[in-house]
Amino acid sequence: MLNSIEHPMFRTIAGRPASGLRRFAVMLGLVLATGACAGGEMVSGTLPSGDAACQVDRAGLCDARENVLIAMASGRAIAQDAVVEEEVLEEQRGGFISVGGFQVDFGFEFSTMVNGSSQLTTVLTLNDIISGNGIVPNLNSISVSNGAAGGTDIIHAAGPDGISATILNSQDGVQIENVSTLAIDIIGLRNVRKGGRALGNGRRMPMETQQSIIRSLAR
Amino acid sequence: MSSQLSLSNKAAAVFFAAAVTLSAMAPFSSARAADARFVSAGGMSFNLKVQSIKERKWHSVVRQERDFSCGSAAVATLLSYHYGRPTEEVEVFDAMFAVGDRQKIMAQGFSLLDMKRFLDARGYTADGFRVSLDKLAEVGVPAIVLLDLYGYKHFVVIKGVTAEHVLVGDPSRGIQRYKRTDFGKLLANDIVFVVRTQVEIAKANFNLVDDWSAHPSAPFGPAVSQSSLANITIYLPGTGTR
Repeated sequence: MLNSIEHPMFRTIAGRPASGLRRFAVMLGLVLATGACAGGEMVSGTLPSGDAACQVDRAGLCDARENVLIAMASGRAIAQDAVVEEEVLEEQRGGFISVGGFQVDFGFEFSTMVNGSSQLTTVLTLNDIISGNGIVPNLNSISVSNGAAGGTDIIHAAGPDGISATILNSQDGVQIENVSTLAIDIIGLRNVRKGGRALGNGRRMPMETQQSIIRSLAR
Repeated sequence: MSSQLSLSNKAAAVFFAAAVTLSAMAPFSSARAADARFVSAGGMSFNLKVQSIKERKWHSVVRQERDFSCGSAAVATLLSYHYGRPTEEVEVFDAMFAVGDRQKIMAQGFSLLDMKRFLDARGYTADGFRVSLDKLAEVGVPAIVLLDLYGYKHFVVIKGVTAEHVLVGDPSRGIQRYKRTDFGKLLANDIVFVVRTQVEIAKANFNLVDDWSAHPSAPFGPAVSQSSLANITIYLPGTGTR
């Protein structure tokens, strides 16, 4: 309980005195807050916890919110009105992309072509790679056989270490191509730059995934 | 006070090194960023500890490891550089992630309540307060605040406040200096998150010269005064008619 008043007579939640004791608590708060407004010397190395219901801002003597830190530094009572409730603290969140900010969509397509014909395609989306710490392990393979002339085995592997293609070819005169397509769509960025807010849930790419993609593209 | 003095001397050494480089224009070999060897025109050599501006920006800020972990890095910065308790971000991240609302953390990042519970569990009593920047400066303790960068909610540590500027430890960009008026526009709310315990340590590590020197401002002003410029040009040979 964050804002409990330490004296058992005034024990309540969120710094609000129980109604029956409210008047006495206000009077006590006035006495303590008057001292806080007047300032004082540092009396200890610990900023005191809220031990009185300071209602001075309502009484008009001084603004409790403005004097709360002064009271803290001088080792005196803290105005409970200035202490932020746990419910409010829980709402104060910070991260790279906020809900209501902009949305990042990601797509990675890896395609291997033999003699101009696409034989194997592996597609990764953001859903495939944010469910864990990196890319969900994925393995695709196909064998392209040309009878007695030989054949071509194609293996696409995706995992935390990156995305790779392994090609085993045993026939001559074959043209093999790998095509990687990385698509990143940032929805709402224009609105964010303008200072506005786009709708939609923000999604982010874990650092491990970013590094996996960078390693893959660097190959 | 003594710690501030020693840090101030250290900062002076950094700028002295830069001044020597510019004035002597002597060839020098730099083994690494922290220890540079300078050779003067007369052949004398000396070593000085130097830091680049980029290094200076991170000398008292813990860099966030993940794109949504500014909250854990801000707490690590607060403990490591303002309360004398070296703390790695991963320690804070793991502890807050273990007990926090994981879905919300993954979607929106850590909350001030996550930070409060982490600090409370380690003997620091922390709370959020609705107070002005002036009052925070008057008390002189560091605080974590939430910025709203056009929808980008981001935790930073206020490392110092003067009449004109606010010095911020930004887990994504290092030490940053803002004008008070500009910084006020970036604040997401009027909540400052401070630690109530160990006030003397917090006050001793607030507004440090060493931190401010990490973000030096350019010396704005005329390089040559107009009068001295006139004294030079008036005696130059004229190119016009006589």
